[in-house]
Amino acid sequence: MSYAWDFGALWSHRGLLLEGAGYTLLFTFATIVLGMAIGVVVALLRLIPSKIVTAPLIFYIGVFRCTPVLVQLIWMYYALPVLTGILLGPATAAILTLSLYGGAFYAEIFRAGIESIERGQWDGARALGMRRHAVMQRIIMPQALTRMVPPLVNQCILQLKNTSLVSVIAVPDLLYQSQVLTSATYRPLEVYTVSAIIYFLLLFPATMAVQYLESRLAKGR
Amino acid sequence: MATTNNTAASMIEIRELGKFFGELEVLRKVDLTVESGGVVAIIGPSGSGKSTLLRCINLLETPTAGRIRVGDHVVDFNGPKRQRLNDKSVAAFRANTGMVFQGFNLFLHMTALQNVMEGLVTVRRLPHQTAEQEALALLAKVGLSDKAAVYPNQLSGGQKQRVAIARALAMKPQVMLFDEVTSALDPELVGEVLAVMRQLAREGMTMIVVTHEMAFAYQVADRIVFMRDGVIVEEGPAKTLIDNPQQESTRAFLSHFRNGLP
Ligand SMILES: Nc1ncnc2c1ncn2[C@@H]1O[C@H](COP(=O)(O)OP(=O)(O)OP(=O)(O)O)[C@@H](O)[C@H]1O
Ligand SMILES: [Mg+2]
Repeated sequence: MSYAWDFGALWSHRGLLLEGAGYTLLFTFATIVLGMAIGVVVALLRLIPSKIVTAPLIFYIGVFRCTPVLVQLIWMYYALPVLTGILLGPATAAILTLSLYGGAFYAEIFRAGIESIERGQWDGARALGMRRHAVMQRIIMPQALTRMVPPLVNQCILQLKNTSLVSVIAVPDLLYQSQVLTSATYRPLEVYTVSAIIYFLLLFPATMAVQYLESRLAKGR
Repeated sequence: MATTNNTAASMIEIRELGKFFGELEVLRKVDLTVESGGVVAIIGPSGSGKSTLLRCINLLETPTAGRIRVGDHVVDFNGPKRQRLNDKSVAAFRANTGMVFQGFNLFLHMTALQNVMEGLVTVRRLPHQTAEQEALALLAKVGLSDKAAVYPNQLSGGQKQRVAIARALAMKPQVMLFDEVTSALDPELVGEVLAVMRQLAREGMTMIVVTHEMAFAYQVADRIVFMRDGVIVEEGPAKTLIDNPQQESTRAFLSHFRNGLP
């Protein structure tokens, strides 16, 4: 193995990679915020004991959880315009897909968190004469949220990794810029090594945070 | 939920109460009256509907038939008079009937003090400081002043149950419902909880106590109700019912407890 590494060309194009990393972070942030908003609403609506409300939500969750994001992304970008005439720009299609995809998972995390709280907590609160929203807000949610934090952070990590898929519809994220840079410099090894390192540096702290939170939860309180 | 000017001495009046879980009839035409300051013990085999009866009395379960009055609060589940229960009126009804559970059901993310304060702040809407003083006084009453800042996980079963009693008392309920509150406790911790309940009975609290503690029922309850398969089989003064049960099934049930009796 005598590959002669040469990062020189890369350094002169570093702006491209940084811009890509910026897009990646921006997309991650936007789709986490939108995805969580979708997730909270869907999870709360799913508590309503009416099939008319819950059936479409279960369908939505199923569709987005059981198909690959890549397929969803391409479908949203290429198939949706054909079927509906609605033409989405690459960035819009990407944000929409990743938010809906994340939303399906966040919804399940929220629902599981709420349902993991024993019935006795509801009984204790309702027996005091607390109203439904007060029970939810003061008794159930605070306990459920602590349990939800590790899976939520995990989902956010996946969310960041998933943004790399948007490069297939020409959104200029870190991976897409790496491809551009590769064709400009003919240095794929250097380019993808550096871009992998950037992904790692972005995600490693997040995974450490999950481990820390999980160990704290395991200790109880 | 109507309010009546009922001047009768009875505090709790239950008429023809019925409860179905789907197809399963769990309570059938249950009638029960508890005088103001009275203590009624409910005994009976597992699955006879004791818990369901208590849960119906504070509307944690919605009865399918009958009428319940606690103090001035009336709910009617019969035919045309059947009311639509809304969240607010149900909550008001519950606040007036304290309930203590076998499994404590303390709020695990709150200290003992916060547990007792919760209803004071969110339901009775007292200012924080007043609520704290009242809650501390209640913890003192159940002998737990030194545990105010402790979370439920660090309390013994007996201590948890005493916090739960203090939490229920904080609502100043007219009646207290106890559902096998000592069944989950180690034997040596049962006494401290029963002592608090004895004290409450002496102070004139109206109580319904589901229990397997026959000695406690014998000494503290005025009346004992024996339930089986969702109906009240026999009811009478505590000592009469235990010493001289009339029904065969009551006798059979009590025979399991003979050695635990005074
Ligand atoms: N939420 C529910 N859904 C369906 N069935 C229920 C429900 N709660 C209780 N039951 C059933 O109702 C019957 C009475 O139960 P209940 O808990 O009131 O009995 P119990 O007298 O308190 O028994 P135990 O001494 O074991 O506590 C049982 O057959 C039980 O399985
Ligand atoms: Mg029971």
